[in-house]
Amino acid sequence: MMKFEGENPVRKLQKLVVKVGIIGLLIQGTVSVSLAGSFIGSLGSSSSLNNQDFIMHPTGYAGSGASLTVNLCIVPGTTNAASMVVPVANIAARMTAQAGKTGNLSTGDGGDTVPISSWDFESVALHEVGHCLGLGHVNAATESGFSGDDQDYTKAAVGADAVLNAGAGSDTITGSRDDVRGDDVSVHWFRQGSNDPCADPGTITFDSTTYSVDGALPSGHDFAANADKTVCNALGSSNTEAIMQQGSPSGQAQRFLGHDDEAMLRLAMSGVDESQGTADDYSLSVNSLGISDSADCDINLSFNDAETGFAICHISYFTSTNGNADHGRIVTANAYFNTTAVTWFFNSSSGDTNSYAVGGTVSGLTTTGLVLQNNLGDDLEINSIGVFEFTTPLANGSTYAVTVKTQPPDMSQVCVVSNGSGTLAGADVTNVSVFCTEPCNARVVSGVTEDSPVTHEACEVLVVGPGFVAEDTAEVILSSGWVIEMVPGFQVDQGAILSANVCGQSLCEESATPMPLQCHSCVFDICTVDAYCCTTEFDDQCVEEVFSICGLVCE
Amino acid sequence: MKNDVWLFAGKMLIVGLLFSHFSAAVWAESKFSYAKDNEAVVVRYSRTPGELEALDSSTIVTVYGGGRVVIHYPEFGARKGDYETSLSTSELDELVATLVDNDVMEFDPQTVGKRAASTRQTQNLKFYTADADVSRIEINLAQYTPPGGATRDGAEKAVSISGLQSMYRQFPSDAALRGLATAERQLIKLIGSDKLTPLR
Repeated sequence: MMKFEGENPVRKLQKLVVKVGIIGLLIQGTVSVSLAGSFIGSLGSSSSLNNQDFIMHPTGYAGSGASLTVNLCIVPGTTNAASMVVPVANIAARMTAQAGKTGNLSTGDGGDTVPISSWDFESVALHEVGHCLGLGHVNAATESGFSGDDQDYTKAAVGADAVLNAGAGSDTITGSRDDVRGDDVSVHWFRQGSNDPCADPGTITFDSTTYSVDGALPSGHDFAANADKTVCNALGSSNTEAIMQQGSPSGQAQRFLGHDDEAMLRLAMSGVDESQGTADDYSLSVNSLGISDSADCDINLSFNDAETGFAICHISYFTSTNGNADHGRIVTANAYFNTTAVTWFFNSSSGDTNSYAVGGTVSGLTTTGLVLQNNLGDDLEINSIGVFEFTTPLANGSTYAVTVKTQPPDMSQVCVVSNGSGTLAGADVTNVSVFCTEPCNARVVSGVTEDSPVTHEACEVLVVGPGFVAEDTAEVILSSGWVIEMVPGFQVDQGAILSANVCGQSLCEESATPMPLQCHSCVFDICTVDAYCCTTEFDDQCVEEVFSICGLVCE
Repeated sequence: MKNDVWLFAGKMLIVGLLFSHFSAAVWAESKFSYAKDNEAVVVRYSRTPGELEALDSSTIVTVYGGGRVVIHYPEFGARKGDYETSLSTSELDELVATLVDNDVMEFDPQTVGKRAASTRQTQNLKFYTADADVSRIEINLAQYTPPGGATRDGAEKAVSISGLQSMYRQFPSDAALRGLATAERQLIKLIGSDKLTPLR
């Protein structure tokens, strides 16, 4: 029988590796090292160690498909801890939304206008968290050796002449597409066909088919442009700049990602093959655990004047992933801020009062009659597979909860919702997933109460209500806070549906037959990236994925 | 846009070695002496953050031989402008000794850099500080005796280094880094002191 431990075992393993690494005195290059780019790690400690193609991944990515969760934590006891809670939660939401915005520079939002002589903590911390997730500067920045405005040139490595070259070209704008950079080697991924890092790219696939670091630039372009605000303005995107452009002035709010920031996060999410829609892709969810020293913290934020005079992110990382030297992965990350030399402004709200849509994709549905709800209302009948969107948008910051109101008639199919709940964070929600399949001998038992428990049967799907108590063993705490005594073999899906483990086989054992999807929510996650497990057989690879994808430990 | 007043931000480490003459020198330790008056700058420290975009972005600590300390805070800091405090003779001696006794006067960036790069190539786990501050420490001595060398009058050393504290954690056995990092922590304590007098 499986036992599910509280802490993600992947995380445990990583933390052990870190401890061993530190004890072993593993050294970073520093003294004359310039290390950054569109991804941290693209520039090595010497020109021979530069890697133009390098992509850094956030903590937890191991080279195979996964739902990656990165937790932000405010170090308990740090100065300004309470004031950091809202900004850090906003940052988590922005990073999770991965929604680039044109016009992301302002003086604040609503009543949260940044005083001219103060620095907006949320904006600066958003930049540092970007680093802590693996993003490098889009511009040459201080580490380049350039000074003044020359630091706005696009991030590049030295060429054969061993120096970075500077030339703003005929438009005289530093960092633009006509820059004259001699033999410099760009490490900035640019959008193919446009070389415009500022404009909304629209609905595209973010991977190496749309972004390139070494491909041909559009005709007439001399170098990759970066999303510096002057460049963006010249390209028609006013008040726009990548959050990963180095340099935070006072009196400015930059609390939303630029399109280039979104593209780099999503490019990394295409995995080591740099191709979306393949087995090594990952989704990225950034959570705020608030003021916490939990072992699940991945990025720790604190004020520490000994570490910085303003703001830094310090990381440790591996330079390869599954032997692929073009893909590194962060192991630990800490962001530090100075309290004495800086006047900080802490905003107290999300600032965005827009409304956003909630929707996603339905797959597997072969019949009609499915009805979805959002927050127990806004009924939406679904009769075919494809993209759906609820009619009523919700105000930013609102919570949403997508559930199945009505299953297809006669339980000819059972539909299960994934990614169904969360908080709107400055962007439409498009990743709700509804998966439908044919259950074996399925039936729905509604209205179960404490006084009328049900006896389970093989292959049934139970829809339970508050107070439901089954007959046997294993206690499970639902996301809603309900406590249910579970019959062995039952597992929880979406907090309201209990799917019977009807397959007669354990997730921890190989089987010559495929694993029915309804056996466990983990099967759904596995089969999303490895359909073989649900269509052919549940082989050793599938058993391994119980750990690598679901983070569950077999005992 | 960056307007970095310290032009050495480009290199992670730049060292200048200059010589000048001082009078009224008093030996504090056998290896060095410094001018013990408040006209002579003995140690100057500045810290310039990478991410901070401002004309006045550096915090600067100037320590004089008589113990006077003047601290400049950036224009938009929680504490801004110039402030004054003082070190006792023993505190100043300790500060200078921390630097000199750890061979900061002999600090060779190329040696440390090569050792760092060599070590990094053998390790899979790397470390990196994004937006690292550039710390600059200048030392002005009236007399200085280098290891195995003859005592000379007037010695000045300037070291600029990016991400000093994190680098020291990676190279804790490097004496010069230890001296720089320890001295920086002492100076940072002064920066955070609540016993400062504002200067007009």
